[in-house]
Amino acid sequence: MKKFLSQSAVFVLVTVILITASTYITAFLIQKKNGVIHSLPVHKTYIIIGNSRPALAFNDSLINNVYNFSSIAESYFYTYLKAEQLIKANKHIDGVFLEYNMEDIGHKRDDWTWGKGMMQNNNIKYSYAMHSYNYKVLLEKNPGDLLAVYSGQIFFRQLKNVMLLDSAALRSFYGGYFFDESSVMNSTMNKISVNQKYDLKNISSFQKGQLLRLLDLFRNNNIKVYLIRSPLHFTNGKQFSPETLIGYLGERNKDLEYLDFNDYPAKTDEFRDPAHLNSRGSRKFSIFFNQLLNDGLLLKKNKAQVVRNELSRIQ
Amino acid sequence: MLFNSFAFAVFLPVVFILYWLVARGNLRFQNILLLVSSYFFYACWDYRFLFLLIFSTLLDYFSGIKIEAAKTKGAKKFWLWLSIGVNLGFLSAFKYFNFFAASFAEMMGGMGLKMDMWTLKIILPVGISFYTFHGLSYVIDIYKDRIKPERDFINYSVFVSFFPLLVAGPIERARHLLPQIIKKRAFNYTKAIDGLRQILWGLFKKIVIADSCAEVVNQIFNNPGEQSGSTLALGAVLFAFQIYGDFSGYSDIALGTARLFGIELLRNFAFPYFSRDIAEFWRRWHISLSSWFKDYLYIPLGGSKGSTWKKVRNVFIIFIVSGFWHGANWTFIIWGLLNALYILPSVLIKTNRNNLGIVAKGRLLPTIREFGLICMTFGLTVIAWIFFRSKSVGAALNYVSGIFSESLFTVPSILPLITLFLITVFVVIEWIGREDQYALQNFGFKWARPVRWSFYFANVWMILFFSGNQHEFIYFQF
Repeated sequence: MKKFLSQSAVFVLVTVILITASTYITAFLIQKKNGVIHSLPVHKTYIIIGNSRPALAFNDSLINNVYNFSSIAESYFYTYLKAEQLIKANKHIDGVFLEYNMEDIGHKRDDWTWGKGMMQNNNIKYSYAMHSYNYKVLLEKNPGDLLAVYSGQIFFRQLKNVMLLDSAALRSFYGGYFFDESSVMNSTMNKISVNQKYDLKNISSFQKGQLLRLLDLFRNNNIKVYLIRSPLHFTNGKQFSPETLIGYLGERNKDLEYLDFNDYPAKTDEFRDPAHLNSRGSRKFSIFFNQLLNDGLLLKKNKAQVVRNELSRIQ
Repeated sequence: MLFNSFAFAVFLPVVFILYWLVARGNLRFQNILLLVSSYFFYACWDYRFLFLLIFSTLLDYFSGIKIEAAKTKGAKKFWLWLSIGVNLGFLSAFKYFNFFAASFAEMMGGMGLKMDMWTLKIILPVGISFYTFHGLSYVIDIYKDRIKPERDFINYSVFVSFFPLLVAGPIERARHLLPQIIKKRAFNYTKAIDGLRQILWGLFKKIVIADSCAEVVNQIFNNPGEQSGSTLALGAVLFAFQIYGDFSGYSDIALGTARLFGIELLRNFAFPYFSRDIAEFWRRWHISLSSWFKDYLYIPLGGSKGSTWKKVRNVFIIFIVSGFWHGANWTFIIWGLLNALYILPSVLIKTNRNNLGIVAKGRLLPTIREFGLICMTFGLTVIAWIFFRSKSVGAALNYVSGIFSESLFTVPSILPLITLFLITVFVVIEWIGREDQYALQNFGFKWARPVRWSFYFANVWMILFFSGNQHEFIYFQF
């Protein structure tokens, strides 16, 4: 028994050393590939970040100087890490379009931050970029699952990505326009109650805090932020006004500009589901958005009003 | 709790240390510990079904005692059928009710009668098919006077619930497992090391082979209409490796884990893809289930004795029931039926026991004839697996017809080179180790320790490397 235990202990010890070494090698390789992942073409001076809504809405191949780096099911907690890397790798970024709606600071996003599945997915992406603050938060909120997530698999999955994915695939793992030509509107329409109201009790102070951190990060790096709301199907009901949404962000952010595309007149079959455009919808919308930029939207004074006027015109 | 999970990696060492170091040879304590651990292991899936497991255990425990105590044949029969009836009743209710309800409604619909059938939202208790069969073999063996009933409830409960075999087998027999549970067990270094090696190989099969194949297989089987014949053929072959890696991997982990506790379980796989005919395949695939059906169904029906009609009937019964055991879906029944058709000619012309030994024993390579037979048998099983994997019989037929099209001779549009390379390495190691209980048993045994350990570390590293998407074991659904 003694021999068995001692040999097993040696085996486990060597395995731990193996994992630790792999961790360092992985972190090194990802840092080395940081350029591949986060360096954007120099003509892309604006980025779009957020979750699946902008990821499906903005087809950046149709928008001249904008790169869509949004990622599905990503909360601001992880977007911050991505933004740090993007800023580090791209000195030429002038501005950022940041998706912001009431649910983005809601409690449901807590699950996107420390729920087991999302924590695993996002830690695979970002563990190499995480700070002690991030670990502290996750450890406080969900220590059990954090431990399971960090059982060695994360580094091996990162390593697998770095070794097996080509540059384009690796970058799209971190974000990008998501092409989806499907539409499940017919099957979901009946289940949606019109005029949903968002309960203010559902706002998470943690998620709001993360958004404020993100805004500060851009401000400190002299990057202009434009808040955006991607198109939503009318069955989602009346949304909170841009003024209300900006109001939640405090005095420091009261001058932020909010480009609200909620009322963009996409047809029902141009939606994947009530919250996301599909590829047909995103094509039309991206052409529209590109035209707005080409017409000098970002140089105009009251951008929000310009967007509203253009949306009324095409209704 | 999955065998390939972090939770199990903590659970197993804790139980192992308590079992050998704290219990210190106290058999009673060891068995109680095994029982508590097994119930905890099971409750991790869904604690509500623990009551079902305990009820089934109690029923068979008392039925066994009553059968032996009964003075008349009638009374014995009563207790036997009570146990069989209740056990199969639960199994049917949980597993087959919706299938029968839907099939009946469909049949009536075909006759022009519109039936508004209701179905139940039933969750299948994990492992029910396995522990039900454990219990059934126990009471049938007592009825047939093959064994005496176990009077110690703890011992009997460990036999039914022993965690390595609880959720996906092997399906044990009381005469094999119970004596081991009753007997005092001593720690054996060689066996424990052997157990760890088998666990390692099982994890490799599951995570590196099966899960890698699963990603490609899902991609192909989810959109078969968009794939070329060659891609579909590749998908079917990969599924054959997926299900083998998945299920035999699970069995290896179960056997290895049990061995750590000084218990030997029945072997479940014996390199089935090196079989030279279908009869040999079925002697090597899911052995504990095949032999269960043979002992408790095929032989009582007359086996391969009697008239030709009886032989044909028995072959069809055993394979259809085997298909149905896997699940309430026509795809499984057709899978069973296909295997019956494959094996029938050899039963009728009595060549089904031609290949009893190990292929190319003592030789490095098979003869051309042996190789041809292996490929042919593998090809037949691959076609049957398509039905096993497909969502419906129609989808399976479309899949098969998609394979046999002109595009069969084109380069597959999905070519997972890394997965194919891994499978090649896997097949080579399996071939080298085919004379042992499992491929890694004596593999590299004569190598110097640093080399041998390097090989094991390479295995561990590969397991971790491929352990990204945790897939459940396929056989948990049965």
